[in-house]
Amino acid sequence: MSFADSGSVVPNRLLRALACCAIALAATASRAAAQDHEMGDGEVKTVLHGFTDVTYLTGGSNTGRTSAFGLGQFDLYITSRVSDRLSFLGETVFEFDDEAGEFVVDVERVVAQYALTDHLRLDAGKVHTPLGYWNNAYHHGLVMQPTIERPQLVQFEDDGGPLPIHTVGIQLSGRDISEAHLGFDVLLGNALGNRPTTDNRNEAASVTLAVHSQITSSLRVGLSGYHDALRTGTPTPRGDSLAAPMTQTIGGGFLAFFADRAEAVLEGHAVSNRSAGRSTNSPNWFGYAGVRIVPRVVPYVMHEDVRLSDNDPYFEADRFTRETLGIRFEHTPRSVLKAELRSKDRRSFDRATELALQLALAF
Amino acid sequence: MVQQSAVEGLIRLAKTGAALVLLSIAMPSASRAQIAVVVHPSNSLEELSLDKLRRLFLGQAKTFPAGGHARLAVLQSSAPAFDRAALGLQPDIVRSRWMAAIFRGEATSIPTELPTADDVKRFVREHPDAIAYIPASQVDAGLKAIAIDGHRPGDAGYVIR
Repeated sequence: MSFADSGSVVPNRLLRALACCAIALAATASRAAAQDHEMGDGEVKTVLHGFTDVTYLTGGSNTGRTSAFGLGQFDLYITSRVSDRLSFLGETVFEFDDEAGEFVVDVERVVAQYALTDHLRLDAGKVHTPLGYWNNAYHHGLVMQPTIERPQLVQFEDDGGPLPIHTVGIQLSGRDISEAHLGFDVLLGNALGNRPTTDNRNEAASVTLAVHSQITSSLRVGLSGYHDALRTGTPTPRGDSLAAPMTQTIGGGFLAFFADRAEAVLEGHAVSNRSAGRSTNSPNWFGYAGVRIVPRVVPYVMHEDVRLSDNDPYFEADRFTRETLGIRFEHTPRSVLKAELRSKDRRSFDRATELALQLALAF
Repeated sequence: MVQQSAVEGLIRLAKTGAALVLLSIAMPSASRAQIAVVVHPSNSLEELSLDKLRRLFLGQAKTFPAGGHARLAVLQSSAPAFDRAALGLQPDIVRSRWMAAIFRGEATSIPTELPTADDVKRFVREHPDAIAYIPASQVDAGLKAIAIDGHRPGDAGYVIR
């Protein structure tokens, strides 16, 4: 939904609301152990969390832009414990939409969660597709994310990412099972291109399976797979529509290590699209590593490699590589400053180097 | 004669200085109070591995080894020492981990934070499924202090201090 739907007055209201929130942020950010905002009548406990960020990005040759500040997402995140076993999780993002030329609202997650046991949970609603590590560990709250930007592989769908980042459906999850500390996710959901309603072109045909193990309190490894069936006419990221039915299969894995001093994530996914008897394969991966040199400072590096196959029925062919050298200053768990020097190479573009600074907050 | 006494004085001064340096190095660990992990007396739990303790207090596990939900509480003043000694992490990192667990939907709230040892004792007495920590010197008959990796508070090998 766009605020334009409600008339031109609403964006001004939103801007005023953002200004108020910015003032509130300034107050809360200085408190190292800011409290969650709890509401409720004693039986239903609702907690409001929020995230936002401001980024400065240099321009220059080959970047295609001038140096400027950018307001990131303004994310309101609600958790509510409805009963001992039933809880609700909702996440709404306010952000500026370049194409629309105004602030828009995205409902990113709406999930009803039912704890079957301490190890099993049933979710229904719009969830983060359980592919790999990064997509579930870090999403809109950039204060928790080690880097300024998401890796291109797990970039949001409307920002050109190749993976289905969100899915509307029903999910069974298991955690900390057996001595191997296994976990799993089974998600049945709407297909790609579907709207979050029951009125859709495609059947609810996507299946996501994920298994992982928290081997130690610092090390987690996992595998995931996704399968989807799309009908002719499904919109593609290129802006056109599928000329024939297509199946998409994604297989991937990850290793994530986060200890007191060192941290690393290695994650890869291969996307295979099959349509009209022809099959393409797009292998993609990224690696991140950081070292905590003093308690609040973490220098880090990241390498990304995204290859979207030529003649793919769904993606626009692309080759994207990026190297990032960054440093993170964790002022508090709720206020983090990051600086990055990035060099990226993209098909049909000359290599571009840019400097980025970001202040990310949780409140 | 004067020179000899001056040299002896310098040697004594150096020895005293060395002793003070050694003492200052040894003092922090010797002076740090042990922190006991406590449960309700009716809980059959006698011992936890350090690994399981870490998983519980990082939100990666929700149950005791024999089953049954574990309800966490922390004593605010002991939390920094507990985070470093038991969880092996800086306190801010522990807080970040809990924020992330809540964000992922894997936890609904952080452990209950209590300001005094008496509050923690009351919490544990009122909740048979509770697990918490307080200074070992504050443990009384209404609580059960459990062993960690085979060592009880007071043992030489007890690491949470």
